[in-house]
Amino acid sequence: MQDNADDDIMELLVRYMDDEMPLTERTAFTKRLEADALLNERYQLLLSAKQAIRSYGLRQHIQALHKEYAMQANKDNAPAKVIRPASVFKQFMRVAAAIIIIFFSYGIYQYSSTNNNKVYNDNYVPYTLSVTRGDNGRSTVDSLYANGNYAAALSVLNTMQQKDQRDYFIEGQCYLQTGNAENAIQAFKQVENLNRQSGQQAFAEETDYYLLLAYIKTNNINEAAQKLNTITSNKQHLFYKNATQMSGLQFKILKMKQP
Amino acid sequence: MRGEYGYTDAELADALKQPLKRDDAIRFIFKNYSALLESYVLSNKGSKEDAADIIQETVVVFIEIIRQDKYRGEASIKSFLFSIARNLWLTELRKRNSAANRNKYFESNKEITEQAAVVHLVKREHFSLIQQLFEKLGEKCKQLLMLVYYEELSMQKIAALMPDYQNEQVLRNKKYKCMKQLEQLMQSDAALKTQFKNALRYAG
Repeated sequence: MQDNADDDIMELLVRYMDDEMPLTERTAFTKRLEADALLNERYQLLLSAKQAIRSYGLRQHIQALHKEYAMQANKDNAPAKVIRPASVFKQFMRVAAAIIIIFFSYGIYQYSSTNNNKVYNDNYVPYTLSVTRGDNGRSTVDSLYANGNYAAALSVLNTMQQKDQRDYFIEGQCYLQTGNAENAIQAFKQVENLNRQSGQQAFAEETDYYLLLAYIKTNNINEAAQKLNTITSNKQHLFYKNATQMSGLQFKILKMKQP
Repeated sequence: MRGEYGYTDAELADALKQPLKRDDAIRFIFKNYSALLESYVLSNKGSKEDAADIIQETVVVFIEIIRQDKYRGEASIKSFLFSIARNLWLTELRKRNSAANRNKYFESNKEITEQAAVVHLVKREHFSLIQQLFEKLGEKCKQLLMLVYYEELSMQKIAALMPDYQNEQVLRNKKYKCMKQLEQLMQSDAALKTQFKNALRYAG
């Protein structure tokens, strides 16, 4: 009972001190403080406690700032570390060492990151058919190919009794697109055979390039190198630019990696 | 006269009253006046650590005097700070040293230029005792009372910082309880009660 009453008085004193009372209540409590010396002494004690807490916080803050200032001042007054200019020879050696490190790092990166699929993907360009033919079956193949439906295009091509260079070339493209590079090689070789037999050059240069890619993908690096040589030795070749952009270093790495 | 960073005494006093400018002003004081205060303490039997304590305490006292608008600008801030530091150090020596030393030092301390500083220093002794009692409170109480009275945050902001308390009213009740605990510690400390009466007499 006594405790509860005292709690109430403490609440009133703190509310008065912290200016949390409405005006009428505050006025009444001011009169009460003036009339009650003991209550007023308690109030003065609380006021000094409040000031002491503020002072405590301020002191902690000042201590932190002074510590920070002292550390900075010590740092500024510390004798500067003398850095002697390196001799020309040392500088040269440092540059040389940096170049060697960069060179080896690049080599290690290339060696570890180069593989058949990466070289294939870096150089593969999807082939776009330019003209749709009038024949029903063939226009269906062209249409399926154009729409990216390579498996369906292959189904139609496989039912055809007679295929020309264009059919085999599209077949090869469809196999490349479906990840079957071995079958693509067979199809592209059929293009070459028909060209040889007929003395024509239908899709010959296109076949060179995509056969090169198919060889890379299947890790036939020697055959790929021959195809690359065929293309890069003919500046008029349709895929000359693509072939010359292939990295010779990557080719060497692929050869080194061959079992 | 302008100091190194472009504060006149009036500007420095004004900056110390403003929370956003206060820390820069304090750094300015450290940079420009700490060597003077340190050399005084060192040349009067103090150590480097004593000097650091006195410099910090001098700045605390000066800011409190400024906050209460009791720095009238009759002496320069440099002289005022020196006066505070000297009084603080002599008080410390009085505590530490023999009667002979005490008399010797007080002989040279007769002329105190700023009465406000003397009054404040008496109060500080009293505050110091309260602060020792404050440190005996629980961590939650200390945190809450610091947020209320030093940081002067609203209950809404404190509620966000102290999520253990469900709402602002619960926090208010906690504040009353914490203040009551502190008051009980103060009431039961005889030395503090005597000092409190002395402080009231000085202040009055």
